[in-house]
Amino acid sequence: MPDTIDIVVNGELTRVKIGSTVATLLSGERIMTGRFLVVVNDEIVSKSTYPETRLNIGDRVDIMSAISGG
Amino acid sequence: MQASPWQVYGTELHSRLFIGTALYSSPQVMIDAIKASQAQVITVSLRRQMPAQAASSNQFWQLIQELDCHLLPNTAGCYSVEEAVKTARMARELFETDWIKLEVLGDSYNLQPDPFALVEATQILIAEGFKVFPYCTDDLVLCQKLADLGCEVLMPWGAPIGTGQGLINPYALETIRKRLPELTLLVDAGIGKPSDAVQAMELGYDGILLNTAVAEALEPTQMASAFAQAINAGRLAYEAGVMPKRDNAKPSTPTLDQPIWQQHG
Repeated sequence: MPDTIDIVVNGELTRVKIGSTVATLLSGERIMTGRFLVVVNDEIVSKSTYPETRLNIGDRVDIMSAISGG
Repeated sequence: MQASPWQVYGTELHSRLFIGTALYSSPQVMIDAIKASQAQVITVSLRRQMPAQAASSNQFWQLIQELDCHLLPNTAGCYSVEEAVKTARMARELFETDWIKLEVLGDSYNLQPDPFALVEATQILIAEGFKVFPYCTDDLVLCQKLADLGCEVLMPWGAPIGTGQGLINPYALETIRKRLPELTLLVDAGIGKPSDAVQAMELGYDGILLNTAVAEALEPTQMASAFAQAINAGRLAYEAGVMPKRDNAKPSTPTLDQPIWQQHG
């Protein structure tokens, strides 16, 4: 039985361990600093719930940050 | 002399220029130009952040913090009500503001707002407590509808985004001003040069939102200063009361007591 699941992070297929949370995703190879926003399946995830928000097969995770705009 | 301060959704501002943060040749040019513009409101946006872009994204965030301006996030690039509403909700969380420059585009050729989708998205966002700044066309009925929904600010275009064509339809813009005297109106998009901004301000518009005209000038900082002065001049002129146009000439030098031989029928 595989111990990983596939999710989509910023449009890219990404393999993470079963039981991963938003917090573990962010602390892994995707080291995020500064101001950003996490959205899972179109729902905004508040920072305080990163450790308890578990990722499931096929979840779409978007990590949004500020850019210039007109 | 400075034109009078004004209110935008309850926030008092002294500058009547909103300026964009995009298209500058470097972050330093952006900072210098925005400072020279004296703008107190800057427009920003949001996108997916790839790990490789984290450093530049953090730098941008720090720069806009240093500017200490009010942030007006936009929903640029959205073509549906769903996309625009979703983007607005994310912008509220990310930038910690309920201000949103609502763009719902209907055509990719001239980036014209979709009036029907704009009304629908405005209705949803106002119900959720957003202070909506709709980027709209210069259609009077659309503007009336947006005002009826609760928008205190409207931002009709002068011309399509990034064209620098100035006010293509001054009659339509003037009509909106006359028919909606209580609303705060900004011309957003299409401004190419300071005289375009002066024209809008002399029509009674409360402010100008622009980006490309400054960012793509040969000397953005100098152009930003030119716009700051032009917008102030246009507002001062509007407040001073522009004289009405006449068909017939009227001498400015008094003709009374002129020698008879200088008088002409």
